[in-house]
Amino acid sequence: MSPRVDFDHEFQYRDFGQDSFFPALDVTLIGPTGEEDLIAIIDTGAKYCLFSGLRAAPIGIDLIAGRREILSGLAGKLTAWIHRVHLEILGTRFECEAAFSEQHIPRELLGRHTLFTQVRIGFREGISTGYFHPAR
Amino acid sequence: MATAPVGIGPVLTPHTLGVLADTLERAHLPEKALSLRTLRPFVQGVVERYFVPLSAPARKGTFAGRFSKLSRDFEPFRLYLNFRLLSTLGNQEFLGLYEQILRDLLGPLLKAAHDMDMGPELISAAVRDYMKIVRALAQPTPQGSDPTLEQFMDLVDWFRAATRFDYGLTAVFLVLERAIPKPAPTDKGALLSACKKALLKFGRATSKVFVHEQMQRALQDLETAHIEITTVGKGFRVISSARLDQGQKKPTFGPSPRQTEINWLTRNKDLSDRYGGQWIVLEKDELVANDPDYHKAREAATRRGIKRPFIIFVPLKESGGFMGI
Repeated sequence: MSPRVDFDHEFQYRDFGQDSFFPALDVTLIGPTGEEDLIAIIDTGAKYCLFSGLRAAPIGIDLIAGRREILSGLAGKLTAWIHRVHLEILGTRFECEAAFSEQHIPRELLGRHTLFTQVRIGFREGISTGYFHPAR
Repeated sequence: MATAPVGIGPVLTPHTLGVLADTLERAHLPEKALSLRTLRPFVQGVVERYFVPLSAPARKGTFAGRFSKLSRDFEPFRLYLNFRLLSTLGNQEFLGLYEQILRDLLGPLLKAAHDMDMGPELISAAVRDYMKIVRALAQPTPQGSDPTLEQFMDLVDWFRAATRFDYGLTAVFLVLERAIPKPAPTDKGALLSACKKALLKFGRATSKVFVHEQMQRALQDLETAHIEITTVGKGFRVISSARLDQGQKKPTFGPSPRQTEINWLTRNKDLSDRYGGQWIVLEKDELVANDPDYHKAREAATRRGIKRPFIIFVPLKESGGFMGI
C-alpha cells in the first residue's frame, strides 16, 4: 500500500511577477512587543527562516543582541542574528529560531531550522499547489 | 465498460485540440495528428455557437439558465467529437494522452486563473477530481450483459452529467485561454459554481453506473466538495477548506486573513515597475504607504493606527529566476 500523507491546508503558489510562481505563505512575525504580516517563500534548501533585520526593532527585538551567524547563499554571504520568535502560519502559532539579516534581502524565507520539525509541507509543482499541515 | 470513454469530457477547445495533435506528431503519428487538425474548424464553430453566448451580457434569463440550455444543446456535438477522437485513437491510448495533456496544460491555465481571479483553487481541484474519475473509468471491468431499461436510463443520466461537466470545464478553459470573452464579475462565480455542481453530479451519476472498487475509492473523497464559492458584492470568493481525513472532522480554515491584500498583489502585476526597490504597506484594498525606507513606510502605517501592518519589500525586476538569497 502506498504511504498516504494528509494535510490540513492546500494553497496556490503566489505570483511574484514575471511569470514567477513560488510556494509562499503569509506569515505573522511576532516579537515581544509587536507583530508584522509578510509573505515568505518556503525554501527547503534554507537552514533558517530569514527575515529582514529592519523588522526586528518594531516588534521589540534588539537585532544585535541575538546569536550572530554568517549565512551562505548563492549570492554570497550575509550576516544574520538569530532570535526566538513566534510565527503564525495559517492560523497556527509556532515558536522558532529565525534569522534576521543585517544586509538587505529581496525576499524573505521559511527555512528548516525549528520550523520544519513542527510542520508537514508538500508540493505539486506541476499545478502550482502546495500543502501545509501544522503538525509533524 | 466499453462506453466509458464516451462519457469522458475531452475539454476540446481549438487550443487543446492543437496540443493533442502536436503530441501525436511528436509520437510519430502524423496521420492521426492530421485527422485531429481537420476537426479544428468544427470545434471553432462549436465554440462560437455554444460557448461565446455563455459570456454574452444577458438580455433575459439567468446565467444558470443559459448554462443549462447551452450545455444541453452541446450534447450531440460532444458525442460526435468523442466518437471522432475514439475512432482516431484507441480507448487506452486516448485516456493516457488525455491525462498527460491536461496535466501539461494546467500550469499555464492556473496562472491565467490567478490573473483573472477565476478561482484557481477550485479549477485545480476540479481537474484533479476529474482525473481521479477518468483513471477509474479506464480500469478494465467485466463485460456485463445487455442493460435493463432502468440501467440504460442511468447510463443516459450519466452521459448527460458528463456532458454538463465537460461543457462547464471547457467553458472555464476557453475563458482562461482568452478564446471567449471573460464573463461579467457576477457570472464568473456562477460559472465556477455550475462547474463544481456539474462535477459532483457527474460523480454521483458515475457511482450508479460503474460499481467497482476503484471507482468507489475515487469518488469517496472529491476535493471539490470541500471548496465553497460565496457571493461577495458583485464578485465571489472561493474558500478552500481543509482536506478532511475520512470520518475525522478537523477544524477548517478559511482563506488567509490577508486575502484582500493578497488579491491586491495578484491584481497589480506591474508592482516591480511601480514600486520596485520599495517597501509597501497594504491594508485591505488600500496601499497605505510606499517608500524605499522601511521605517518611513512602517511609520505611515503606525500613524494610521495599524498595529500589525502587512509590509513587504517589492524587489526590482529580476533578469533571471530567483535562486535563493
